[in-house]
Amino acid sequence: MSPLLDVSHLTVRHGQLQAITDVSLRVDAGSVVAVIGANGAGKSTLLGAIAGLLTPAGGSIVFDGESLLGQPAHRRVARGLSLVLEGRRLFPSLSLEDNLRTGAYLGRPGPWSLERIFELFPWMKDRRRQLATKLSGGEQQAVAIARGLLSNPRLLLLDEVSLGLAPVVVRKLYDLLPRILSEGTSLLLVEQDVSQALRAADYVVCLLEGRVSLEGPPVALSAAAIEAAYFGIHHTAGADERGSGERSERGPR
Amino acid sequence: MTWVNAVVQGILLGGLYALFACGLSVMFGVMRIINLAHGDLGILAAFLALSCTSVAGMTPLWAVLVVVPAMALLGYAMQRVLFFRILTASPFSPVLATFGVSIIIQNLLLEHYSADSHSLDVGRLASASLRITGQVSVAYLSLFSFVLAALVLAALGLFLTRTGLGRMMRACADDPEAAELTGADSRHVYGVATAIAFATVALAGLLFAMRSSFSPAAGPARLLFAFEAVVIGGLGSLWGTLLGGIVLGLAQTLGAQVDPAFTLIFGHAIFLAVLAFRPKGLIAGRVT
Repeated sequence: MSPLLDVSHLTVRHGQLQAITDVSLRVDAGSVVAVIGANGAGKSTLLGAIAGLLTPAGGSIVFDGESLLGQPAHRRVARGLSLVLEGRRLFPSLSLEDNLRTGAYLGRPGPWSLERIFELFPWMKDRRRQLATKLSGGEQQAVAIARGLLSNPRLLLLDEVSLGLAPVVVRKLYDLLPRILSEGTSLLLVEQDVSQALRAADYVVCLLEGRVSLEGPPVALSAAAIEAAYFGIHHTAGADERGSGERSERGPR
Repeated sequence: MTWVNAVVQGILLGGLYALFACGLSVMFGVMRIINLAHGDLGILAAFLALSCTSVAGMTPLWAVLVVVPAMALLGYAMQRVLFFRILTASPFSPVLATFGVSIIIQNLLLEHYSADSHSLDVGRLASASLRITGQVSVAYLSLFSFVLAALVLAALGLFLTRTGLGRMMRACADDPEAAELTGADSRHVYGVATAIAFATVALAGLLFAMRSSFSPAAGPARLLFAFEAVVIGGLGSLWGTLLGGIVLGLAQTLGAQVDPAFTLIFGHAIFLAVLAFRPKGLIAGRVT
């Protein structure tokens, strides 16, 4: 069976900086793939290139058997790809309900509707007239995920769901993932919280300075191997190498 | 009693200013474009209607029905062909580009229609008025343009809050990247926003041309009044724009009541006072 998403040899540059180099990754239908890595490893860049916010310098992105290259972001949403951006990015001047409704703008058919979202999150129905900015961080993240779901994606990309949230809130959000999967949506998530990612994913890809440093199913990866791949600590690693890692570090946006 | 009359006239004039202003507000709110050609577009519409009535022999109503949609189409096309390309270049490129469009429109009009003043003949409607008391009478045309302005603003408000495309327009104003990721084709959304701006300013230009004479150089003054109405009312609030138009209209007619030479000065003074003491406008709204 061909994978739902097939990224191969992808290279993306931010001006002079090579943000990701020769990254390959695949997501099979019905699976959860997690991309882990330190700040600036290129995780958000990878998602941005898949969603159409960034133009790759090389490589290919094939979704459901068709190339995505050259297609604008909104066309990719219509094809069934939805990215929940880091930092929630709700529309501040829109109410909670209007934020959700923007997700359903294209009217892609599928299991998710406003009613289903309100069933899953009853509190949203009660507070639907509130401005998105009046919600707590965890609530905003839930709304952002719900907005992404309302486009009825076949693949949902989640960027740093746990960022800035209390562990108990993060756990609640992660508890939603099986529910999302059961509706036929596959998941590609980017996560700094490694333990959370290992718990949720079927397959983990670790990025280090824009390259894949380790990959495999969570059970096959030892803690030591992950630590080495995550921080780039080899037995020869010295202060210099760490230093260069710091320099190439950049905010995801 | 003449003061009461001035107040009534000022309020009605304000409706027209608000109609001129709402398109300026939409373009700035959604795309951050300050359209310096806004007033000239209204005057362009007036001249197009003049050609429709005098050359093609249409009635003024038919001219409105032809010119307003034509201007909307022009807006959509200009957004796709011109404005969209320069949006990302730098914050100043839209200002320069629309300034250029303003000069081009003025000179084309000058070339084709000469510098003479013209007016759009609407027959008896131009002078017919409703006498309320001895000294207070309301021209039907003023009343009509005020009601039309209020209806257009209400319709625009409903469009922005109740329809998917209108909601997406507000979403694009907040965060274009996130809007694109929820499926908005920003080129189309911006095109529709510009079409709305061009259509409303065309309607305002036509009403203006029915009430008073106009020439190819009349655009910048319209732009200035529209800009003042937006700032007085508060950027991003449609009802604020109506209020801003009314305040500006009132200031002008009351100024004229004191001395006709004070008409414009009073308007500008109110504008400066609002900028100084309430820089967010009378109704500090959300951005479109």
